[in-house]
Amino acid sequence: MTMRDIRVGVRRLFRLAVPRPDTAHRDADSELEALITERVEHLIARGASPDEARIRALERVGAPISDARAQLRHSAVRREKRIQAVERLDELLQDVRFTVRTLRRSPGFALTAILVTALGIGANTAAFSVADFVLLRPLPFADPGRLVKIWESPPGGYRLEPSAPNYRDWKAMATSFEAMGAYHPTAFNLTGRGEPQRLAGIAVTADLLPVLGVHAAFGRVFTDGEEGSVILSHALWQKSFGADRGVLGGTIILDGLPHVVIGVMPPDFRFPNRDIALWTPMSATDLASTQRGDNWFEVIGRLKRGITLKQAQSEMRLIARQLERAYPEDNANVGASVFALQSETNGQSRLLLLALCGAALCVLLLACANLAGLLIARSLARRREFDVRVALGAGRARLVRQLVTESLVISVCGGALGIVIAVVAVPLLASLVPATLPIAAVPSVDTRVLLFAALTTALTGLCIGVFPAVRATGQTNLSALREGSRAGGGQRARLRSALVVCEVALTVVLLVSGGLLMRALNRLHEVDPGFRPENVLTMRTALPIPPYDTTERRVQFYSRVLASVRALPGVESAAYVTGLPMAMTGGIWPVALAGQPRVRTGANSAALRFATPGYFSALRIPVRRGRDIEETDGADAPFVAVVSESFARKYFPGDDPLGKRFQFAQGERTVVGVVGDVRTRGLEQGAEPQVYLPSRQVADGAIIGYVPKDLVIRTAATISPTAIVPAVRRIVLEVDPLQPISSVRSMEEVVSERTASRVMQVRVIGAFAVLAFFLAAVGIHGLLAYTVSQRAHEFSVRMALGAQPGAIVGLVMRQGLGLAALGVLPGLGLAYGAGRAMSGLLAGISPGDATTFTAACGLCVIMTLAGSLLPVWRAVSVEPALAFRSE
Amino acid sequence: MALLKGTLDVLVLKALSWGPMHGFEIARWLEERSSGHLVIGDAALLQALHRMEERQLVAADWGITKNERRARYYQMTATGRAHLRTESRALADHVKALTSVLSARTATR
Repeated sequence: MTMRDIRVGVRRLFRLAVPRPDTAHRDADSELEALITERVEHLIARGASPDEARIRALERVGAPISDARAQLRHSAVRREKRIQAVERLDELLQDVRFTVRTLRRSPGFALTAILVTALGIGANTAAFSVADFVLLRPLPFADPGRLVKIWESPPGGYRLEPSAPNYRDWKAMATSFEAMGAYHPTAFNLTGRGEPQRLAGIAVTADLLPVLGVHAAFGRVFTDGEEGSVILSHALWQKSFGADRGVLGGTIILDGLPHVVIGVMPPDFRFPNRDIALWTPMSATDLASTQRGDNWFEVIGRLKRGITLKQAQSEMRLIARQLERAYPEDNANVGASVFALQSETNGQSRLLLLALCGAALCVLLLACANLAGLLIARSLARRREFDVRVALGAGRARLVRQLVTESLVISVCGGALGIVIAVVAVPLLASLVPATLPIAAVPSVDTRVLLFAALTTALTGLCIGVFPAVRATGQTNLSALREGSRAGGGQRARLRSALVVCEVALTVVLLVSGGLLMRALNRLHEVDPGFRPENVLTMRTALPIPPYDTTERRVQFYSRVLASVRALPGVESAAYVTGLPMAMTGGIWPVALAGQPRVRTGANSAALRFATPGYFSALRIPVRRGRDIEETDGADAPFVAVVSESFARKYFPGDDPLGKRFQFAQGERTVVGVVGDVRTRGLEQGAEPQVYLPSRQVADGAIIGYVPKDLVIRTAATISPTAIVPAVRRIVLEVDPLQPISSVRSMEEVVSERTASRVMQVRVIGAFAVLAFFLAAVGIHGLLAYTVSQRAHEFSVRMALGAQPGAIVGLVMRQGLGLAALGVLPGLGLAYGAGRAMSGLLAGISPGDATTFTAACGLCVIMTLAGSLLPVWRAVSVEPALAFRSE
Repeated sequence: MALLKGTLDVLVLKALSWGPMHGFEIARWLEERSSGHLVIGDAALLQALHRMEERQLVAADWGITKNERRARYYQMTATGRAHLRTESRALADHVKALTSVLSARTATR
């Protein structure tokens, strides 16, 4: 057989010579030389002289020989490069095809592996998309890194909205800022376009929108000194104005007054939060307010280029000190603090999200460990195949690549499915997006998130593949082909044991974290809010000023509505109040006892609420001493107050509070009653002492931000509070047909809203823990099943020699429990660390909570037992005679 | 005579359809079949072969000639065979069209 008979390309198949550039050059040169030589011989055979033949052959080359050589070298190199690229691609496709074929042969394994990867990647993608949306992504404003929020900081370490005069002084004095703007929340009744609507709005100074660096989608933003105009949010424009551009320049009726629409904002502009429907210019009187103790502005600044947050902070501290000296009565002890706008997310939602991400990462690691274990088991089962392939000349690198391809195919399928899971899961996580941020309610799965998912997928594939691949091929040798099936498993069993130990540790972390968070939530739900939210319906009537500018007009409205509502069947009591507990969390006013100077400090203050008679019975807030607010507490009667127990304790310690007098909310009040404390700031936080004032005892036009607008109705336990909503709507519309009704909710909803994000987070982490539990159990099962199959021979010998089944059970169980114990110990340590890191979420539960840790350990024992069940059964059902039959 | 673009590839493939050949064999085959009309420069022929190998129309490997010399043998691949089939048909049509134009006897039909 001549070389000519070897099938072309067989050399390549065997990778006998991998051409490199210099070989390609040599190839090209000798090919040309061979051709010339052939022609010379041919010509000589035809009778030419050798010299003549050489000359004629060189002529036939068609170009000077050196040029021809250079050209051919070039084309040969190019050819080799291309061919190699094609071959690499072919190999990849071949690997993929091969992988798909092998995976098809074991669909159970393939499906499990893909599903486990999908859950891991899906969990992480979903958690990342929410965390990225809330914590990492730059705010949708121009150059958001330079935007800051500036607060007054009274002693006691909290932040307070600045007053108008302080804002004006800051703006005039500070040099760290390119510009500064202010806003305050407001709300309007939109009438004249179908049903009256209640809309949340923001009154802004003309420089606020330019400070944020935003422009109207069309139309313009406000100019200095402008009044009576309005800018619509994109959502409102679409919903209520049919996305009609003709609205520009038109007039809409807000609170009974015409406003000219001058612009519509872009769809992604939500400032200061997603609920805002429109923006109006701040009125000149608001801006010119001289009340230095009236804290109701919010201030945004844009740092000058090159000025750091620290520099701005120290400048503002200096300015605050100057203002303190200039206005000692109002500004004593009042500092100023500067925060990056990006860091407005409160600590708790940050912690909630980070904990969620940590848990998701645990799940992914667990999934990886589990899959790595499965793949090692698989590669052991396929060891003979590998040995055969190596014997036939397959390179070790090729085998490794083949195995990595397999794990990549699994992880890519899993990743694709995981993205689907994430897309479905992300909207469910929406309650983890704080409503106070200038971002949408639901994060979208976009390129950024997909990139993350792709990266996670690639890493997962490499993680689960490289490890078993290197292990599986590292020890291949020809002698293995001749060995028995039990040979050489020790090393890999040790590796798999390590993986199982990791799985157990991660499971412990998830079980303990989930348990701690669940206990914390339970503890919160056991906290007494100070009122009974069951069977209470709440809604808001807007009472715009005008026409409700006098106290008397409002009182008439309350009386008529309340009288009719109380007459409804099933209604036990009804009342109006300023802000529902937990819905309105602030409303803090300074308190001065008779005969003492008024000092503005965080320490001497109380929460102010105006209420009609019947409020305490409607919410079942216990009246401890004295009396409720009564109809007789009118404008001409002595000004009275009902205070909370903590107020009485704080300001009149050891004294009878009834009959005591104090300065509060622009008047002197006498205590006539003491009621129980209410957790106005939610179940997790302490609340300021509370003061309730009769809704009639306020001067016309004074303290208008505290006008009672919230209707509270307690129904009999036998009927659902929502059942009476239509009847109440009718009553309100009868009393005032222009009165929009908004925020119809049961009081239970108001309360549960405060913990909604936690409930969601605990559910998700709980689900992760359950998943971890099963994955780890499967991991234990897999490992024990393997060792039992390896030791079947040994067991049968033992049994044949008279060992009791109990002894065999002991052998297998000892291995399982040993592994579990090895995993549990570091797991508990890690879990304690995790607990400490999220102690802000634990509502006082210790990170080392014994109950949780014991329960987690108990669950691990159950998990180990569950994972050992089948292997143990298989071990004891080994036939004693097996030893004498096999091999 | 200069060749039309792409024609050389088809002619080489036609040569190879008779079996694997090395560069000189291809050149001689073309010369003899065209009764000496087709004379292609050796450098151009080899370059064409490299290009065709790159496109996987042919595959190549070193072998030994009848004269006991090393030579690079070319063999047509399946892709090459398909290429030959379609391209030779197109070429024939093209030649027919040229011939009918050049053999026109009247200004109009």
